[in-house]
Amino acid sequence: MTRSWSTGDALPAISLPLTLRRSVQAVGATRDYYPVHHDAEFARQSGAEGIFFNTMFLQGFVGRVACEWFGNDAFLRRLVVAMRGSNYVGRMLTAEGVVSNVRDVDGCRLVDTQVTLSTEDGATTEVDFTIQLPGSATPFPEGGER
Amino acid sequence: MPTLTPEQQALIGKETAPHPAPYPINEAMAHFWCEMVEDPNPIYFDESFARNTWLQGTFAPPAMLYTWGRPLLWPETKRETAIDGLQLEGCTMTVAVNAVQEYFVPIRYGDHLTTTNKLAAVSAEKTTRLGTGHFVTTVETFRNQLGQVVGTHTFTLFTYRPAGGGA
Repeated sequence: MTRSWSTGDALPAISLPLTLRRSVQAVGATRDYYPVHHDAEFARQSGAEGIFFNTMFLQGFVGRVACEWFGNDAFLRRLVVAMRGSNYVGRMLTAEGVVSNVRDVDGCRLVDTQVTLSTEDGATTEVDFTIQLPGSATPFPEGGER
Repeated sequence: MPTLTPEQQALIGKETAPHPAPYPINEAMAHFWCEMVEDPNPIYFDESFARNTWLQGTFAPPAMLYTWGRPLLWPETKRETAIDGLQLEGCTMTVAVNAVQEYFVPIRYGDHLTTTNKLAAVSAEKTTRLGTGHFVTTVETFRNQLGQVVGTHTFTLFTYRPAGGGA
């Protein structure tokens, strides 16, 4: 993808249904067996409404949408995920983003993006990420060629 | 206990010994990850596509970083973590608050990672809508077999005594 980006560019919404099956997939794929993510009774005792999705799942979802927005060969550099509410089974998760900065550092073109993840309960997760666009600078700062 | 004991304070900043990830970086676990979030990016699996990009070949999704260090449930292994010995009284529940990941080098299939873990901060006792407890921040550093730091994961958790004892 060769388009250029500017501060304030809005990114199209991307949604994913938070089914019970997906919560099972997430437990296995992220190897997170803390019971709030698979045991509804335990989750309720913790103060939650029921089973909710874990942090690594949210990181994975943002990793997906970042490359849908900026290109399959854009490389994620930094990802900040701040939990404001729970992403419960049964909801629809939606990512919406806006470009907050575009900058060049050591020959690398970096795009900073602010993302809000929301469900029917409202905004649940605030995300900031920095992604490096394809360019001439090597993506391997210290090790060089592998 | 509103503040930390000297013993608890002394744990802050100490790094654990390196611990090997249970599996080498592999495509099967990366597929399970992509299946989870319906991530169709060919850069992770299509070598002919990936080879012709500036990234020079396939690699595992960067956001998988923390997952590679998760221990096996069975057979159980003893694994030192930075929060061993913290023992915050009655704090039986944990919820994630904030996670910061930085990625420095693509993690390639076949790589062997090791992790070290450090307790970065523990707050004084706080009460939130969930209960009363402490905000605990740990930093996990991931290195590949060449000794390169491939990424870091900084996790802030709230560990607490539940307020209501269940809904």
